[in-house]
Amino acid sequence: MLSADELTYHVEGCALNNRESQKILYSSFYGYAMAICDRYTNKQEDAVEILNDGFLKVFREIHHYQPAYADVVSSFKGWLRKIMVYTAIDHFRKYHKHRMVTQLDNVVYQVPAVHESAIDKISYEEIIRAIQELSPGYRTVLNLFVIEGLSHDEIAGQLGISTGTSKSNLSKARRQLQKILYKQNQIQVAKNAV
Amino acid sequence: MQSEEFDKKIIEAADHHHPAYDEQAWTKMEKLLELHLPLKKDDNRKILFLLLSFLLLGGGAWLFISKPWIQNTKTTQTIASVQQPVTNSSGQNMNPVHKDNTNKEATGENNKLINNNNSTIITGTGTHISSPVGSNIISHNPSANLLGDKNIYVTSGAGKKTSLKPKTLLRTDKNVPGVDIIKDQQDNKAIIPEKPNTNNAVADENTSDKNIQKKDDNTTTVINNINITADDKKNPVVTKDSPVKKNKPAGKKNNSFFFSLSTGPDISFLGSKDLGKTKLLAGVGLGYTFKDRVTLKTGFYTGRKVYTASPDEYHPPATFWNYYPYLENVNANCKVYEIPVLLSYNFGNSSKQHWFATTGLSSYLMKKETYTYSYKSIPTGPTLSRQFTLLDINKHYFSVLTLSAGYERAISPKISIMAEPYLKLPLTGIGYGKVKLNSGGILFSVGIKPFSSKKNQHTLPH
Repeated sequence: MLSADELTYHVEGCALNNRESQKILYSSFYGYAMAICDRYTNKQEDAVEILNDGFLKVFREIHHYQPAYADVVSSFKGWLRKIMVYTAIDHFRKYHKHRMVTQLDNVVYQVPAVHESAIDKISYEEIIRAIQELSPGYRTVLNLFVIEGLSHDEIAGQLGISTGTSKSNLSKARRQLQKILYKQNQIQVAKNAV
Repeated sequence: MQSEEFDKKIIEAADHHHPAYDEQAWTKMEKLLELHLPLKKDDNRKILFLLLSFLLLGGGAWLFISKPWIQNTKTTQTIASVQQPVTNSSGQNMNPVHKDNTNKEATGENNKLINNNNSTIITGTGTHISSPVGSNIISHNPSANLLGDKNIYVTSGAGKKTSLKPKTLLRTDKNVPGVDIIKDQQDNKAIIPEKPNTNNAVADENTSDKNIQKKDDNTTTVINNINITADDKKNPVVTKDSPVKKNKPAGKKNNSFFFSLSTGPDISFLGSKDLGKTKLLAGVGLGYTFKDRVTLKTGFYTGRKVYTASPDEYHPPATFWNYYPYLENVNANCKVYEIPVLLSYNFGNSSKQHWFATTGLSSYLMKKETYTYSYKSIPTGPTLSRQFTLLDINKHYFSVLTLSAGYERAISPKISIMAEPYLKLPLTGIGYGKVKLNSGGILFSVGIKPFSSKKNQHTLPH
């Protein structure tokens, strides 16, 4: 990871459309950005597309970038993260808009209760893979609510859906994720509570 | 609760997820950047610069292969070696008969004599000219007096000398064999000195010149109306000992290719303010001279531009000022590659030395730009310093006007030295800060003309 001075230097270089600085910035934050992007898609090429579109926005707007606080690296990461999330949302709206569920389903999944020890056995990679296997709508809402910390109102505004639909999709996303993990690890969870 | 723990697990999984870098992803990113954020290119100037360089190199290569100057040299030599025939008014060939057993006395560059006898002619300056009876006096320049003397003395075989009026010595007329003819310029009479009387060989030492003259007058025979044709006067006589004089054809000019090695001090400055540091400029050049007058040249030079700019003189992109709102000054240290395309005019006709004047356009390739910014984060705060480096970013094609004049001197047929003070004025802003970067200095060069020979030394390389 780049130091604060190096980051500042290359940000200035990117503002001048310097290819060398752009590549250094890209390679340094590739892992961080890709970790965000590939949670929104189940295909590697789609994840790369979201990543590259996001970095294109970064390079276009980097001359407007101003560090929000003293920690230059964290400030830049937060700015980068926001751009990647919005790019993922744009990607979803472009390709999966019509797959959003508009109302609550009445189907209730009967799953066993989850023991703490069982959760501990689940690896991070398994969870990420399970998230990638979710339906596009569920996956997006789950990522935005659970990981990015957006509210249902904000999610509804971003995705062009109602707040109820956002809540419904989150509920279903959790259940589906648990089902996937249950199939993988035979985990029993309680009924979903909205 | 369990949902919260599950969410927490999901968050932890996301935080610990770091995919490895993929170079192929950057390749796709690069294409995207080329499409949406292409690098700035100055296509027209670059194409023109490449075309000019290609033409210059191609012309040099053609000259190197064809070597047209060598054919001209051979032709000149062939012409010079042909001996011109000499005839008198009667059409007789007056080319001298060379006698190997003759005694020769050289009297100067333009005259050679074949001496077989004792009679002598001594000029006023003391030059001894033998004019023996029965021999031929041969002049290489019959239209001129021998050595341009005013007084010519004729001495007898006894050693007595007689002063004569200025005469024009001519080739002998073979119709009167064995007789030397001296033509009097004033009355167009030819005076033929008689064969000296050996009985009177011992002359009275006390005899005055007048007496000798009078005596000579009584014994001379005057021949009137000697017809001397114009052809006799004009046709030069060439002996086997005379050097082949290779005259340069009137109006012939030479073309030549050359290359040079140069170095010298270079100083940069902005406007009329403080001068920057003096740095060394060095490089190689090559060019071609047309008709000994006009020279087209180019080259490759490297040097450093060190200067200080005030905020008013510094014109970076607008976003720069977001980072340095209270800039105090900028210290620049830039490594520059310079490629000039220059036209030069040679003054003077000397083949050894001349003055010349040059003008043209140069391209600056900013290889490395290092800027040290002195600034304040707030107006009342301390002065901070930050360094910023750019590599191979800025290129300014044909953006610098070069003016110079110099002196060149040949030290050998192929090598010359020259000194050339110059001034370089930018036509656009230079570097990241788009400053008006002026430069001045003196370039000392050694010019080498690899295809030159002594015979063709007419053009100085520079």
